Amino acid sequence: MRKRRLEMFGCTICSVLLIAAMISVTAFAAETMRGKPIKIGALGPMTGAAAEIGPKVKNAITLRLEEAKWQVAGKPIELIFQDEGGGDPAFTMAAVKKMVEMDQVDIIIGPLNTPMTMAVAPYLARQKMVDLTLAPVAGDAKQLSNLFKGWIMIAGGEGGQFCYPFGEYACSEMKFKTISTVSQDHAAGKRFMGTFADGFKSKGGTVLQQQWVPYGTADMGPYLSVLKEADALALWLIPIDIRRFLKQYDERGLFKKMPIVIPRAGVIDEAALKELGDLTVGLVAEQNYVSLLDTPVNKRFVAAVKKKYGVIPDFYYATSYQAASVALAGFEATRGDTTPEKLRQAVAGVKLETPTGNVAFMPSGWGILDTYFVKVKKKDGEYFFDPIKKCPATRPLGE
Amino acid sequence: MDVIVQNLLNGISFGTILFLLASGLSISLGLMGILNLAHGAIYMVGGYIGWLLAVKGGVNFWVTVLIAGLATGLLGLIIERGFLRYLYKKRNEQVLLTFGLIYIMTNLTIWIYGAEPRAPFTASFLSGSFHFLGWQYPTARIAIIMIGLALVIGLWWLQDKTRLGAIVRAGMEDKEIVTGLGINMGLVFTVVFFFASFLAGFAGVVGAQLLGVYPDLSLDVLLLALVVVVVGGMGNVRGTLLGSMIIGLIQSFGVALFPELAMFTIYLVMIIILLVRPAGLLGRRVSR
Repeated sequence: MRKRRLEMFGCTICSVLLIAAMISVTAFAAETMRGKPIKIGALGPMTGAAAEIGPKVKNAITLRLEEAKWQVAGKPIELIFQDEGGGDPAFTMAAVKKMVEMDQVDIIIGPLNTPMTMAVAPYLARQKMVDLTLAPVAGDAKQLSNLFKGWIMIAGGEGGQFCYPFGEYACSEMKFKTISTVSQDHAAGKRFMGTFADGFKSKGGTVLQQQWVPYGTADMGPYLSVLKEADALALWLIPIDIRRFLKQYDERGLFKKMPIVIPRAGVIDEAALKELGDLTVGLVAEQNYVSLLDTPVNKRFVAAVKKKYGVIPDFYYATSYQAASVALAGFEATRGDTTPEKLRQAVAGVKLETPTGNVAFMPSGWGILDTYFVKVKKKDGEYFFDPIKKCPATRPLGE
Repeated sequence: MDVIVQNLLNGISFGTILFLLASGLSISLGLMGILNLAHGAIYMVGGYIGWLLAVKGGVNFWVTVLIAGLATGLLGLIIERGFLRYLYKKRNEQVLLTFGLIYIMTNLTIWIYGAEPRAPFTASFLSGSFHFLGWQYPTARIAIIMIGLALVIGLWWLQDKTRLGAIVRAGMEDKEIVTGLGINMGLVFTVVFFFASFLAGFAGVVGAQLLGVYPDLSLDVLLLALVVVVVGGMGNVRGTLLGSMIIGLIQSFGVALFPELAMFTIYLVMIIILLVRPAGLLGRRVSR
């Protein structure tokens, strides 16, 4: 009796193992027939001060890959998404290394923030890994080109290439003669506001004061108390700080004295405009993406994001979607060949129309991108960025 | 003159928020010897509850402040009864536990409310500015100063004029003697921790008028609260008040007059005070 039970147990185990082996072989065969998948690695901040942006990056890239039916050049696509961390370059480096060495991705999209990009760029260049950045990298383009060695495709451009023409616009077309500035005291804040000021001065304007707000400043009151009155205030702060500043600026009645212009206005989206309310009406800003852009590709994109995620896409949605589009175009051009140098050249040669406008690359990898000057308007209780001027095909300063 | 007056008021109003935040931490540290690093996270939870009620729900601001305080008081009760009471006199374990609670509460907050930062909010009648002889100053900040003043008086009365206050003061000096007199110190600890957490949540809503709420708020305010407690002295409400006013004023005038040093003026002051008076300006020995 006992022997019979043992025999039955043994038969059951063997049967299960045999079935499992058959399933594995079948799956392996199917995979082999389809071809090795193309692995796209992506990074976005899921934790830390920019934690609200990471899901937008992931959502937009996922949307683009779904539109491509998770295939490119006849090969399946696998997306590996990682948190780039809350501001620790070592964390980002660990995530990137995992993607390169363990996951063996073929291309990387991200990270978002400039310090993280600079931290991982030398490693990616050594590994000959094509990387598409998301947001503008802040820094001198010539110096950064030496660091990136052509492997980092700056699909988000360089901050100064957008802020400089906006500074020119503020002086020459908005007719401001003097300006005060308040910006974050870190690399991006200094680069954006520095190049804005340079553009403003190039048209004959005078910068009366520049204030730099350290990261994590709780109270904006002291900065407001010493603000020098000018024709306008140029402002750039991270999302929570800019909300605090605008509220406290409004409480003091300062909007009546000094209108605000915001270069790189990706720090406030339509949801933030709604939260802040009427004080935002009339703000003039510069940004790479406007949801109201009247192009077929953008209208399709906005409709798709609204349908899938129930939100109006902002700059981070658009730039992430753009990066994924560039990656797919690169793989199409190589017909699925993931050889690093071939892929790099293919991506560098991409010319696309995306929701943000036209995208192309310089030989050094810097993006040639459109930007827009916008004004906040209110209609039927909704707040939105209304495009007032397009600044096409901007290039990094000095490149 | 305008710069001086503005920053005097800026410093006092910001210092008031620091006092509201740090007083609970100081009391729990002084009486119970517990270093509750989750105090900043409790502040953040209070702020988010306030945002949910006042902004999304349209609830009266003062009712919101009370409900947020009670909710975080309850949270504190759970933390004390469920975890901390097993870790008295175990400082390393307290630090590890409460630090872990920061991450848990922060991630739960992101899960529930999303990661978007929320702009500062206040009652509609506190929006805008108070006008006086051609000069204007935000009404919300004046309200914060008034609330702080009321709390100072309330805490002074509680500490100096009530039996509970006498027990707390005695407990800070010598717990064993107080226990020997038949006082249930376990119950006192629970009540004090509830009250400290109530204050944190209360401060979260009041402070949201200036700071707003966002996921990283817990660590940002914790650092400030620790600086205040270190400068003023642990376990001493008067010391916490003095420390918070000093830090608030230094922050305001430091930024206005020495902006290049804005990043570390308050830490410089903390280091100097620690060198001169290691227990803080009005510090007492932490109860063992």
